[in-house]
Amino acid sequence: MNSTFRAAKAVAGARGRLLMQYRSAALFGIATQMFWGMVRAAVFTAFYQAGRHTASLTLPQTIAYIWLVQATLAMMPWRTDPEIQEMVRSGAISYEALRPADLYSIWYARALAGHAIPTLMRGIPLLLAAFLLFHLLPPHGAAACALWLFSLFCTLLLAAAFTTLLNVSLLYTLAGDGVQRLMPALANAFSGMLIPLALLPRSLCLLLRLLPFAGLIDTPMRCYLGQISEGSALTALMLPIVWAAALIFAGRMLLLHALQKMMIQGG
Amino acid sequence: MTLRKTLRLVRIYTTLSFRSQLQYKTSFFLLTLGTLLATGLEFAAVYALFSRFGSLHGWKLPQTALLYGCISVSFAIAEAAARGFDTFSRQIKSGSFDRILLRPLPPAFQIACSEIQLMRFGRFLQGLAVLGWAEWKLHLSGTALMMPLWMVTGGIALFYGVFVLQATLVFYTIETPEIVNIFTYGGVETAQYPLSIYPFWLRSIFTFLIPLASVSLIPARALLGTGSASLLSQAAPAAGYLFLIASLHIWKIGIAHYTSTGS
Repeated sequence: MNSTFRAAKAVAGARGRLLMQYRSAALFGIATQMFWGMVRAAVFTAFYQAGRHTASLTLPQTIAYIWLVQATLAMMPWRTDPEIQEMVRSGAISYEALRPADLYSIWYARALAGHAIPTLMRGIPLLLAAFLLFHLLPPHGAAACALWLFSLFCTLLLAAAFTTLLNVSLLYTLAGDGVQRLMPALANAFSGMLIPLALLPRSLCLLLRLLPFAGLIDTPMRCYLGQISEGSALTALMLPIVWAAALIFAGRMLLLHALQKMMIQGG
Repeated sequence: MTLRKTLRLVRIYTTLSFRSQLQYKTSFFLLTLGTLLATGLEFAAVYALFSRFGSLHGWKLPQTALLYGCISVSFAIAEAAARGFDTFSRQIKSGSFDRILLRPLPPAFQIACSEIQLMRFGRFLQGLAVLGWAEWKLHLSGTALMMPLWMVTGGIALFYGVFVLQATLVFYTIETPEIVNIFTYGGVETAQYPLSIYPFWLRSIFTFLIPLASVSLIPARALLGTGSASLLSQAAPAAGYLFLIASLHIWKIGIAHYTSTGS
């Protein structure tokens, strides 16, 4: 167990240092995301000007929401790991399976780094820019800020579980056309990325909050805006963790099953 | 090159491209289904916003859907047809552009024909469905249906021009910078809503630099009777064609700049 943890830590560290190299890509990425943020902020401002709203979010809250989504976009489980995809395609996966370490843990560690490093590299400058240039609403108090940071950590665990599940699904589908396309579409709509869940009809909003996707965007956002009181925080934050655990379990089982029936050809 | 020969070549290139892609039928089907779902959910989000807020600067959902549908269909077609320009950095990096230069055909023509991508068929279907719904809701019929068609063709030319410019940039940068997405995907996203809702600088970019307004907002207003219906606003989508012609001229400047890395 201890050696697995050490191996996973080393893999995550190496992956993180690699991702850190792409600084100019991150810079262009930030500029692009600022553009999206401004466009989306303009759209919502225009909608709010229509006046007819019983919205559970005020306009500054919605705009804060938009900037936070842009800042944490790298948390979205949009794609499979291209290197794992290549391994599955080329057969190099057999070496991966031979390593004396728990494969799921290694892949999960890769995914953790893959989400955490780009989020830090892009998110922090973007949030600073939004504070300085677009009067981003600060967190609703110190407690909300602490809850938000903790909730982002839960999001990271959940996002890595999603991504690893996508990677494992490659062992079944090879090409990566089905699940790998459908899940990001569902994640975008159901996490609150396309539209804050609070702006949806009430019953739909409550239903979507029970699904695993809400933990990606909606939960940290509610913490930031102070819409989760300290009393209900425990249940609201438990849900993403429970979902992460369930997805990790599912991913593990599917990986085990796939490795058992895997046929390696060639000599 | 005679017109007859050109058309024959286009036909050969297209059939080749379609055939090779349809080798993977399940894959094509799943991709289409996936895009259809993704873009369908996107429109559902727009629907949810309208049901929450009622209107957007005086635009109701069906009117906005007209803009949304036209732009989506234009972009889907342009993206499929301009795939060769979209992935042009690959050709520069691998050096296969040199081979294209050696052939006795215009390079732009060869790149345009090199791939017609079916992958975005789902987006096309979704855009068409939204557009059809908008036309039905707005009771458009007869000659009024010509205007959306005119907007769509102008939009295709415009986005095609953007992809040509993106490829031209690759002569200088080798890699396609992510920021170019602002003008392709960003253009679609912004023009799905009436451009009048955006701040001045953004509106200016998409009116004067890249004339998106002239294939969406201006003719749509003329059609819906909410703005000037002068001949000029009705003819506005022609700006998309002018933009494409200008892009192809800039492309020639880029080619003149190109130095191969090969030996």
